[in-house]
Amino acid sequence: MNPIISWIKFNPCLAIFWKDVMYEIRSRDTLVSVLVFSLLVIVVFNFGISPNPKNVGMFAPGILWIAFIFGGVLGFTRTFAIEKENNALDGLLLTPVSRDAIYLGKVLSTFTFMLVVEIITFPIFAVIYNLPILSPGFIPVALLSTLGISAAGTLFSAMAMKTKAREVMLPLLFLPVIVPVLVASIEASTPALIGGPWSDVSMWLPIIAVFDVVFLIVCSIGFSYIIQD
Amino acid sequence: MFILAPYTTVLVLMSDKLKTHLVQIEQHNTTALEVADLTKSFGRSRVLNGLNLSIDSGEVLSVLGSNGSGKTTLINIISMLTKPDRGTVHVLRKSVDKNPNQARNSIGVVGHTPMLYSGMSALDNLTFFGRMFHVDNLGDRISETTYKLGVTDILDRKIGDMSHGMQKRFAIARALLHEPELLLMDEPESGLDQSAVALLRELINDLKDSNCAVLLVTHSFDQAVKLGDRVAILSKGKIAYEEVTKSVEIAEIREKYFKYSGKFK
Repeated sequence: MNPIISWIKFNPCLAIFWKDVMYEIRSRDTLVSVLVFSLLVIVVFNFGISPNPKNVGMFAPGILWIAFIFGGVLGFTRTFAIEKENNALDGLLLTPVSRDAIYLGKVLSTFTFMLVVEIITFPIFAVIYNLPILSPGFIPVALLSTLGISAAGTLFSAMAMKTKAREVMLPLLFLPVIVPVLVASIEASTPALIGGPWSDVSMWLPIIAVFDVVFLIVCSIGFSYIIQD
Repeated sequence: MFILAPYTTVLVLMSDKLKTHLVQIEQHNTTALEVADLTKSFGRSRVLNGLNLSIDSGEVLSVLGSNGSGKTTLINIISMLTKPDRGTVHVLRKSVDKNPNQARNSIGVVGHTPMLYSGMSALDNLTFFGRMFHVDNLGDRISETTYKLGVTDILDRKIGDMSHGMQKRFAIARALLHEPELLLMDEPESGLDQSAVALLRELINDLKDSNCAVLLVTHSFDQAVKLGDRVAILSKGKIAYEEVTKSVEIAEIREKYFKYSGKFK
């Protein structure tokens, strides 16, 4: 077998990612609910704030990221739900795969699901708030912020899975930790969405990237401890 | 010189056979599992209390014990799902703490639950777990394992749509997929019909022949004696009684069980 094909076939991260994608395509449990919830947040805020051309730049980025994060919380409650059914997580833990690889595989799948939701939500958001649909400056902000949110969310999802009241525990644990990324994402998204200078966007990107790296390292170490009995 | 040639040939052939035989004996006598001073408490309750046991390759050890005697905890610790408070576990003479992934590669586990994804088909489950174990010729291996368990024709069905017995058969297939050298079975007969129990017996005998060690936790005296080479009774967190099955009757095992488990007959 070609070594590249063999690597792809037997890479545990990709196997977990592919398993989650196939599971989601068949069940559509998580994506649909997260998507509907994110859209509802955007619509409800639109009614509550009644944005006008003067204040839309001030409110819209915040509303967008709150919608993504609240939707993400809903999705994270399901991240390990499929592993919990039938005790499949134990089956996964019995395999000769490092816990980091399991964590990274789950991060990859949550990152992909969040990106899909964002790709569908963003044009609708842009139309509702009368913002440009094509905002190239927003793409790196969305990619980096979503990675950080997924990295932290996957860890807290695993943590919450071990508790009885996981729907309550997850937002309580996750939201305070994600605040720095949320603030940086909103600050970077504002100039990106209202057509501000690229320098105003790019100054926030290294900060978000640093948080991503810290979350990925710390959370992968924490995951190994959390997942063990 | 020519007169000696046939004798030399016979001697060479005999020494080759002897070597092969010695290698087989050596393989058979390898300690597959060695557990020493294993201690585990949950809160104030001490479940395992300095437990020691060992199993050789190609040997089946049946473990009996009342509910809450620590049988499942023992299996969880050996399979590294639970950390012990104290004690060591060696699989194929290697510490599981130092070589966890190497040990996981040598162990197959059949637990109370199937440990399979209920929303995925049996084939997708076995393919996924086979990839995680780096199983070569995965398709052939899946066909071979599921054929032995009589479940080849329902491979495309979802695990969640199957009966408990069928789920159990696929759980056994998952545990055998990577050809483990040590198989841990926690009450494998529960939920299985008589034909499946017969298949299980056949399977365990095949595993013995292929030099796989089996730790069989069961509530059935009959299974314990028929399948095991040795039988042990777990009580108060330790092996309270151990005997070779050839030299013991079921009635004696039953008597010892009730004596050590402290329950009425």
